Amino acid sequence: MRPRLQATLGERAFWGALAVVSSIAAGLAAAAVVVVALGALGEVAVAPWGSVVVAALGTLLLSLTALIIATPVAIGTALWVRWIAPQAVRPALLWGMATLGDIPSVFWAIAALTLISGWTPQVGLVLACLGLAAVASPTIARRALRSFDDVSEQRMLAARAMGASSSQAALGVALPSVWRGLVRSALLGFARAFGDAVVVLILLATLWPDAPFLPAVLFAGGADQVLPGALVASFLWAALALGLSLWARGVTR
Amino acid sequence: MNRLSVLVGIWAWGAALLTISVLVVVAVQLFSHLSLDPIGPAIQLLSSSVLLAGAAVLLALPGALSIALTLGEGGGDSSVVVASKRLLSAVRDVPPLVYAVLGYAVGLRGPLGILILLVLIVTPFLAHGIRNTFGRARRRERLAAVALGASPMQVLVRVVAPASGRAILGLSLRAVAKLIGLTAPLLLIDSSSFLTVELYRAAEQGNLGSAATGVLVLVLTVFALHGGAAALARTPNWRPGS
Repeated sequence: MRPRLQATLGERAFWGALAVVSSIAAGLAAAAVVVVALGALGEVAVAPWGSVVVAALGTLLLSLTALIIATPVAIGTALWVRWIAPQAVRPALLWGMATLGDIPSVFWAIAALTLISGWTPQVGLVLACLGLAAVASPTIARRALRSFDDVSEQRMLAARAMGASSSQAALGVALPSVWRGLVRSALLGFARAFGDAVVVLILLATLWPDAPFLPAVLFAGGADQVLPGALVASFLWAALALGLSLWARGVTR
Repeated sequence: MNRLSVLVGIWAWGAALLTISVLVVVAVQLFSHLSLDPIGPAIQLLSSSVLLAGAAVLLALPGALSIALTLGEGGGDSSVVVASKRLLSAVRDVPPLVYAVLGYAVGLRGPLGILILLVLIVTPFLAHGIRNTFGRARRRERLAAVALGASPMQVLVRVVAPASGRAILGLSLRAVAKLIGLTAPLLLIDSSSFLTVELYRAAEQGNLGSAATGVLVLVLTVFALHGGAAALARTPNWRPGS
């Protein structure tokens, strides 16, 4: 049994102070949320509920379309990077994928903007889907890679030793054991696309001011003015994003 | 099985080639719109963005360290701590724009408002990262220190902190990279001093030359910050007795 020493007075003071500071911070955060929630409650009566709900549904649909585009590409790329790509370039690819995840979404929006001239709302809608897919893909790929890291290296080596190709080992050994992680990565990518605003703002809101999406509702009064209902929309948005994130973690536990 | 595995191979190769092609096309498109004139103003705006983001990260670090310590080293396994850990992971994924609207609602405005907003956005990211870093701190050395009779505080100061210093520095660089890419939240609070906001304005006005040039400068900076973080992660961290 390991020897146990009494905590010194300084240590007790440190942990005590830490507990007090953390409690104060948590209390302040909770108070801020309550204050803002009360403000939002005041707006509930005057909020244009119809447009807020339609905008939430529109954003969900847009994100879902982006997810359908992004998931196969991102998981396929992660599969390739983890097991099929040449070993020499693998570290660089892994770093590149990690960095792509932190590239600001304004990059993808402006890149999409440079692709086509002569815009219509329909073209903007398609490009917004592609832009959101580009925003979500690195998140999905990065999480999928993390799931692939959990696959037993010994089982993969055993499969290769029995004559399986890298694709066969990936199909027969890796994918069946990480499907929960892949579902989770897709859901987190969905949450990432759902929470993004700037792609929709740049690619859609200028051409289609009353577009049924949450970012457009929030900025309907201009970039520096929040209209009544926007606070309610933002609460709805926060609740949905938080719910999606918790669901992604819970459903794959 | 064989046909399926061939299909998996085709899928993986196809996805990788598609990803690489998209990146190449995007890069070519952006470079084709590149112009030299907006580079100076873009770098100026980027400097102020990096300064503001760096200040926010510095301000957020003590709070994030406190949260990480409370939930990690000193927290134990009580249900409150477990629930707080789950909440922290979930809060990381709340869209930054939500913080901005809530901040706008309580009256955050101007450069100070931006600073507070950035601190609020980055604290969960830092706290989660620091907690993971502490968790990864060498388990064997930690156990050895405990076996030798070190108290939790001594383990923290002598073992965990020296082993985590570079990782926390790398995490801070990644946090700055994350913050300088924010756009929509800043539009609400104060839109004067951030590069991304000017990029948004340029894109809105159809000034693609400025937007493409600025966004390339921004992305190169993000890559440089990530490169710095990766270099720090590769550097040998800590040796017993050093």
